[in-house]
Amino acid sequence: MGLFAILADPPGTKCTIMAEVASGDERECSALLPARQIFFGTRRPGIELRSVACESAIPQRRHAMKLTTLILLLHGLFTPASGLDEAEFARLHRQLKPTAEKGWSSIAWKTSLVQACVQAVREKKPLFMVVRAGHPLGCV
Amino acid sequence: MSVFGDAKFVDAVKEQFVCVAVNQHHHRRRKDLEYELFAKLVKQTGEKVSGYNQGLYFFTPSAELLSFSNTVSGEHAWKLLRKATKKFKPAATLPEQLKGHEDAGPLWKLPDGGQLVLVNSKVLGGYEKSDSPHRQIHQQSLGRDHLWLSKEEIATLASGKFPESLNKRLPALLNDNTRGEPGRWRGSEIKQFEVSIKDGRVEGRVRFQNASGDRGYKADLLGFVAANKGVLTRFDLVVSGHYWGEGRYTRNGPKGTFPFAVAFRLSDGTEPYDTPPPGVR
Repeated sequence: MGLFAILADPPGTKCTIMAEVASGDERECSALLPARQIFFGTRRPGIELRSVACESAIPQRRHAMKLTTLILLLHGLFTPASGLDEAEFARLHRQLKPTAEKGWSSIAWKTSLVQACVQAVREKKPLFMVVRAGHPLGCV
Repeated sequence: MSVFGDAKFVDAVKEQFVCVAVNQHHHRRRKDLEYELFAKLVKQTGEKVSGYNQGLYFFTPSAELLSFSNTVSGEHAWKLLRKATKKFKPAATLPEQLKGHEDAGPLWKLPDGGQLVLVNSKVLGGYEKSDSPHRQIHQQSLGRDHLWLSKEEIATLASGKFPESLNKRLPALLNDNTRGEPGRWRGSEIKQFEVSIKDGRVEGRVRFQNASGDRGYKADLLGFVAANKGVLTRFDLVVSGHYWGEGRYTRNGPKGTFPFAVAFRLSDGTEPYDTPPPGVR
């Protein structure tokens, strides 16, 4: 979860934050910010900040606002921040672990045809070979 | 039922055959006895070695084909197995071609000081229901890949830094390979891949998108790395986010964006598929 901060100046600055959520949808959040106040927020998992735009709610001060409004996008925007928390990490790491299958993974596969043929002669057995585009034991 | 979903078929090949797994792209490029045996088998199927060579091959140690088909059907595979068993006559001596190769070993060995990482991927949702057994297998499948960590990369990780070389190699593994071989991410398609490590905690962001915008992956990375005396004792990473699109050989993916995750863990070397295959990154 990344922190971000906005320093609003002059008074009555309207701050609009455009964010993209994980589904690809855009969300907009607007707030009228009092002057010279720093707002801290947290970037929630799955949300990517797309833009932060500020405009003065007081028309005659719009020009001044452009010069003086400072937008500080701290930690969350300038350093990688994972939207994954530790609980989600642990859940997915478990979920993606191959189970103790009795299927193809229990076979003592050889990767060398020569080695397999030599062994087959010794054991007086025929051979069974699986050929794929990409290695059958792990996509490449 | 699929070939390897049939436990009896698996038991039969384990007991009655010596089993070998081959990547056609690798074997057709070799210039040694591996190629000669492979080419001899392929030619007996009526295909060119440069063509489509995927399938199940039953054969003798002198590379005489007993039966062949490119099938995923368990029933069909049984027919091939029975035909092969019926035709096979064990040779009394080593075929001439194999003489001098009695001590042949595995084709690939992990470089000294290296460690193997297992990489698994999964589509976590978004599929439309299908009555096709073939599609159901793909929809539930776990993608598998491998990552070699070199001695130098392990030393860098142990010192608390994320190796630059992994920044280049990891993106290739963050791909939906659950239905087949995916197209690789080109350099220009890697919009963002930033990884940082602090006190063993790894965080990162992933933003991939192809030029047409019809395939991409937006995800976050979290993981934990630990080392003891220069050896990694933990390399657990999870990359999770939203994927969209499919490749030429990975058709029938979910429509729109769908949740997709990839997990990394150190191999303990106890399973047959822990053998590092050719082409591991």
